[in-house]
Amino acid sequence: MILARLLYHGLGWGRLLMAVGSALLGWLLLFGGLQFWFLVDHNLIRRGDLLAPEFCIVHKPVPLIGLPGGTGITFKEAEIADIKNQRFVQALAPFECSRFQAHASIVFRSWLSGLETDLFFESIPDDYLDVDLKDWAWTPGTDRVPIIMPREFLVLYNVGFARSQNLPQFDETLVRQVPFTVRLSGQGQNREFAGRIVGFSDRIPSVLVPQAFLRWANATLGEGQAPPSRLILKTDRTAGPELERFLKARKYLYNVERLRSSKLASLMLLLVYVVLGFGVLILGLALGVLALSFQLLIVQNRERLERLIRIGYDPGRLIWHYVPPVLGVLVLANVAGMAFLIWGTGQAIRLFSNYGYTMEPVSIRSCALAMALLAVLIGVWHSLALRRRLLRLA
Amino acid sequence: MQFSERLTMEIRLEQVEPWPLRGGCEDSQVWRQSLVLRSGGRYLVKARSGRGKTTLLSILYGMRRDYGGEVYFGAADIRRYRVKDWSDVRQRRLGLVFQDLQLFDDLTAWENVEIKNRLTARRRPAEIQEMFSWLGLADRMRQAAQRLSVGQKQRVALIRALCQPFEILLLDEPFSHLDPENTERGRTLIDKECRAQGATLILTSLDADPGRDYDQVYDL
Repeated sequence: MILARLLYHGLGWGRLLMAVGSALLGWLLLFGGLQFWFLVDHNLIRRGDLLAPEFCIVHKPVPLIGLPGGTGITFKEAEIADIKNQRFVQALAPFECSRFQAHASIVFRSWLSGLETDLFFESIPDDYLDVDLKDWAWTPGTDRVPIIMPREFLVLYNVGFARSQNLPQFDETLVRQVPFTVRLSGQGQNREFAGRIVGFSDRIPSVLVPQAFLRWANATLGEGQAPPSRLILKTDRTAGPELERFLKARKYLYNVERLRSSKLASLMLLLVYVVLGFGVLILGLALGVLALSFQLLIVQNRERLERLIRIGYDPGRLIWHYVPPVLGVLVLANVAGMAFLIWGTGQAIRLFSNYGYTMEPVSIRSCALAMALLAVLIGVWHSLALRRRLLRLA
Repeated sequence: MQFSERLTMEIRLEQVEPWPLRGGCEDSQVWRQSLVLRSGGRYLVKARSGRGKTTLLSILYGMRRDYGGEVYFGAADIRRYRVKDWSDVRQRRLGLVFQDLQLFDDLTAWENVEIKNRLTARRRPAEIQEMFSWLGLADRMRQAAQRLSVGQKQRVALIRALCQPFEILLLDEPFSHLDPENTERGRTLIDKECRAQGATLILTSLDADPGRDYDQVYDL
């Protein structure tokens, strides 16, 4: 008690309380923000609802009078490289296009008439697909070729075309089982394949075949590779606005709808960053004031401390009289923080559910761990700073 | 640095000269001399003001390092002591009554002693009380140090210094503000403690004080 009176002589209680209060506020903001980030990350990003990498399909506007072969709308090497170099573009692939005639026909056993149509195929690398790739592989010599169709295409057929023409409607499972014949011709050759639809894509509005198949067919029946007229971009989850600006500046066309969710995502992330930023700022300032309070205390009591050291007190041990209050504040911050996290997570989930998002709760373990770690770091830093000051008095 | 228990705390000074007094120490019997203060001896260092009495004790107490030459406690050069070594020495082996007393003004006389005794756990409260009484301060124990006279403060500082074990006791003009009776009582207390602990006594004074048997008197 006597020692405490000497060591804490002239302590500014008001200043100290304010510093502790602000430190707590900053602490809660910081870790509240972090927990919110975990929650959003776990529920929206991992699940891919909102913040998954964005795929964006880009093409050029068709000029008023399109040249045969579409030279006006193809991408040059330099243009592709330019897009690839943008910060927010993670990867990019061109659509490869068939350069031969293709014809598909279905013969229904119970109808006299069949369905037949001329077709074109495109292909993109497998990792841009949003379809189960189980039956997707094609190796040269195989006479079956897997095909992916746009889901919208089937919808359009079922709800529009089939009804207007009095044709049967098919659901996806059935369509997958319908065998049809694909006849390819070019360079004076004909080839026949058994076609089968293995999946429907929401992402790619085109009729797709495996890349290996298309390249083989183009080499065998077609006129070789042509420059691409469509590109698919894999972009950062938050790239939306920036990507849109870029594409507009280049006068490229793109599917706008897909960029909308990423606007929401970047707004959400912005919110998290703002909260985290304020948390860090307030906490930093408050810790600064707290540290200064103690340093000031040591400066104010310099003579008393020197005297204590002269009568035999070990400065290395005197710091233990200054450390416990700080440890107390840190423990308080941890306990208050933990309570806040548990309460806040519940609140956030309720809030999201009001807007129609079902969120799974996220454990506060990672956040609590980060909190404890930061507390230890601050404690050690504070102790070392005090120790250095006290040893300087000896 | 480790101290072996009861290593003889013989003090050896080799050509010690404080920087501020450089060049002015020709006729000194201490500065720039080689001398040994043997363990358990009684030494008086006398000089007029400004010759460095307090400086000498400050050097021996590890408060000043601005000197040339070497000081040894036993075999150890005290320049090698680290902060922690000095705390240890000041708690268990080396006592000092500072000339400016170094009391805490806002603590009472009793608390000023208690704050040292708490560190060393050397005395029981009754023993401390007895010393206060012996030096005529029984009714001053609860008084704030800043309201004590210099003479009273000197006695409180002496009691505080005796609240630890020591092998060397340094006293910097300890009786300068005491009347003959209290000086005598102080001396008795000091002699008793030094004898009991076999400690070396080094006392500074403006004038050679008469009537006491010192092993050696040095003119600084």
